[in-house]
Amino acid sequence: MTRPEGNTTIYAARSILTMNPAQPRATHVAVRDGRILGVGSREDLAGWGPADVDERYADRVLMPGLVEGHCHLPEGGMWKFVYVGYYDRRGPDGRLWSGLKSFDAVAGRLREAERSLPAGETLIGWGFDPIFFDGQRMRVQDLDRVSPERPIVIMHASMHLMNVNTPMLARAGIDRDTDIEGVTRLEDGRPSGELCEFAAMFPVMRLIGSPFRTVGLSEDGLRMFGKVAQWAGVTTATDLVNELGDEGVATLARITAEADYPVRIVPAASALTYAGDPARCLEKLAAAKRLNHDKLHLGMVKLVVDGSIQGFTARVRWPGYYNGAPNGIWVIAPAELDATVQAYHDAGVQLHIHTNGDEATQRAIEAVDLALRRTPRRDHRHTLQHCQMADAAQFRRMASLGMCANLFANHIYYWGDAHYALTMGPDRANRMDACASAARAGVPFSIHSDAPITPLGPLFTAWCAANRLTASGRVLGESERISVDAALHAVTLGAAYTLHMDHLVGSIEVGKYADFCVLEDDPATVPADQLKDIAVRGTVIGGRPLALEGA
Amino acid sequence: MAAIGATRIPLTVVGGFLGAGKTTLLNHVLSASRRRAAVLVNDFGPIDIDAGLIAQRADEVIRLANGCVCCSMAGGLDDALARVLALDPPPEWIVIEASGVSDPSRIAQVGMCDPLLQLEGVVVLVDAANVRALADDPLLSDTVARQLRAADLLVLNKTDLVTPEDLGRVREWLRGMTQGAAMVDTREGRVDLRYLSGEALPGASVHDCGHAGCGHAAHHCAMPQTDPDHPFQSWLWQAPGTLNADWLAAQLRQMPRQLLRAKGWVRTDRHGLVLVQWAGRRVRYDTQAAPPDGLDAPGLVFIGLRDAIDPRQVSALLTPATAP
Repeated sequence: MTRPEGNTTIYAARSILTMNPAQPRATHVAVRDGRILGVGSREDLAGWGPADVDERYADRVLMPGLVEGHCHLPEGGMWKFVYVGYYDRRGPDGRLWSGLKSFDAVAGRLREAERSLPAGETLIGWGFDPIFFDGQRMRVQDLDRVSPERPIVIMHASMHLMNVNTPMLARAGIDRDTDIEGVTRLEDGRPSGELCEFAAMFPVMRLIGSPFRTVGLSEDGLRMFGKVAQWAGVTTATDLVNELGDEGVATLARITAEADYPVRIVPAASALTYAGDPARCLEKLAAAKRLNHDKLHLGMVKLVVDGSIQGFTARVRWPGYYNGAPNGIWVIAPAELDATVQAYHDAGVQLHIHTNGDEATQRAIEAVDLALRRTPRRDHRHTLQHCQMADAAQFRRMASLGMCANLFANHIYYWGDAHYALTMGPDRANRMDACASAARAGVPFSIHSDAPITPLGPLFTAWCAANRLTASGRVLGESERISVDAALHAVTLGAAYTLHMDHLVGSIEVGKYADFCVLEDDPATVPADQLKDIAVRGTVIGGRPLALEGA
Repeated sequence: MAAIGATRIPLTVVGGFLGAGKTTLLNHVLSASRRRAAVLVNDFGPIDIDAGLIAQRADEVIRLANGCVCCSMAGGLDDALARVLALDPPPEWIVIEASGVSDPSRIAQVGMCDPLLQLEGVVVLVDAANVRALADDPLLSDTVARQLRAADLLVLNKTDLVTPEDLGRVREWLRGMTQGAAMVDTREGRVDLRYLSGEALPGASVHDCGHAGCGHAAHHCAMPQTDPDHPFQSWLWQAPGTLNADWLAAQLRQMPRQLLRAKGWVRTDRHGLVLVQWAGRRVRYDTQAAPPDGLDAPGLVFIGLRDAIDPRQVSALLTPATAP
């Protein structure tokens, strides 16, 4: 092995939280050729010879660059549209867009955006969620006040619903005689402007050119994603459904290769896109992998088994939904799941399997069990994504099979109250996204945002797992809280492990990529309830300090 | 793209659990359709189009020499449907394959919503040999029941694989599951395509029959009515005066399951003379359609299972339908 020859930079910090249990704390980290050369005190690093000492972080705390194990690239490109969500959210420019607590406030922000939009262009908002408005639903009148002429479309956070104004209804040909399920109505029978699911949304999607599926992979969308990630302290992020389109992958490879692109991207190939034909997906993946480099790590495959709990489309076991809603949907038939898991497992890829309800989780565990019986394989790390309703027995079985979990901790805050009252009821809601149960069973786990479904922000996600507070302030299952240390592990090494990247990222250790998150305060010493409030002051990617640009 | 106001493109949704024979049926559509059909499939993999028929093949679209296209939904149904609607010339018939676990009626409703489309019906294929076992699987019983309930027409496939006695039992069970939905038998997915598309209703507006004030009990249609084995009958219901639009829609939603489709011109309080489309158990007042000249006897043409439905039953549901 050749001795590293490049220049050495030593970063001094108030403290370095390494997440390496063998050396939890340090004050200096030496970087050469984009990798971590040494960790310790200034003296410990002297033996590496001459070095530039960089003091810019002398008053800051460094920790490993945060790892988001389940998010999607549209978290960047969605910012081409107007954010109208209920909660505060930071855009690529660093501006904190305040949450909008009334329909008037939503209309106000849209009016502001409308003024700078060219005539004739459709005004598009995103991130709206009526669940936070005490049962009130937005109406066509609320949006007609923004503009009586310009078509307006507001996408809900779930992306399964939208609100539109009168001009858009007219263009889409939806009126009081449109006799389909997804058209919500006013008392007098006219459409309220709220359109649910494919059939009702399609005429609008067709008119606006369905921009949401592709917006993440455009060049400027990718740049916006990088900026959002920087503000969140994230240096490794997944793109958990990637269709492996030639153009999209090429753009991704080109942009992420830029020296100052701030994030390593770990896409998961969408098996659904290649339904029933794993061989074709694997072939495409093998070709795409040739574009891999230090900041692009293709190789994983994503499967989806069921829908969402708050949409009542997750497959849940007996006794079903608390409000009596019928059981949800299979996105893949159980027998087909077995065959699909087997095919990818046999090919040696790592699977990330979306399961929300516990019936879907059970089927996914059984499919992995079957695959392992036929083709024993060590260290596969097949990961259940969301895995929100797994109980202790399921976690034990996952542990025995060598599976991992990536739990949707942000759900506790955003939808925990709805789960408590409507979807799962108190007992099961209290053990949702059960980090402590996963830990007790010995399941390696991470926690995630599913951005853009909820905002990208691993420190917030860690706060959710450590505090388990809902938006209304209820503690949802105190016994499933985990320590701050465990929560920080989940958003660094824990997530890296679920991506088969724990040898590269997730801790500040010799030989790993020099990816750091720069913080104002020390997350391991602030009270647990302040974890989400720690300011991110920048990131370092491959040894390059990146300043936050913007507001 | 077809402009609003132009003829709507007929849409058929084909559902049914995995293994019911959807792919075979869709192949049959692609090779045998007399109209330029666009068939949207989940996956090209199992679609086995004779190489000699393929004119052009790209990642997501296969063009056939006969003018049909087969389009992959790998990038999502939204994208695929928008893509075929943008074809020039536009297809004359769109057929969407619902995935083996999805509820086809959720997809089909787009044909009662989008101004470019007109739903013709939801066809659900049933594997005669296997459907009972599927319905008994606790993980699948609700999925199978949802699919069966969504059907305007059940196509009982693989009938050659079961004994006549078992076939009778499956039919009886299906009638119970669907409140008697219209059903035809087939093997190897070969169904008369007129059952699936709007061809069963030849432009079915009443004036097309050429008999002003036509009162035929069994109205003629493209189907060979003289064939006693033909599974369907059609007839005209004459609309009395002006109807209350909401009332008529409500009555049509309660029509017996043995009916497949209805279409025709009526006069309503809200629309005046308007084209009524009844498909997928739902009603559309098509205000874009221009009334034909010389229409003097408004009414609806109904299509239903032969011998399973009495036109008087339908008339009774519609009789008190006068405007308030």
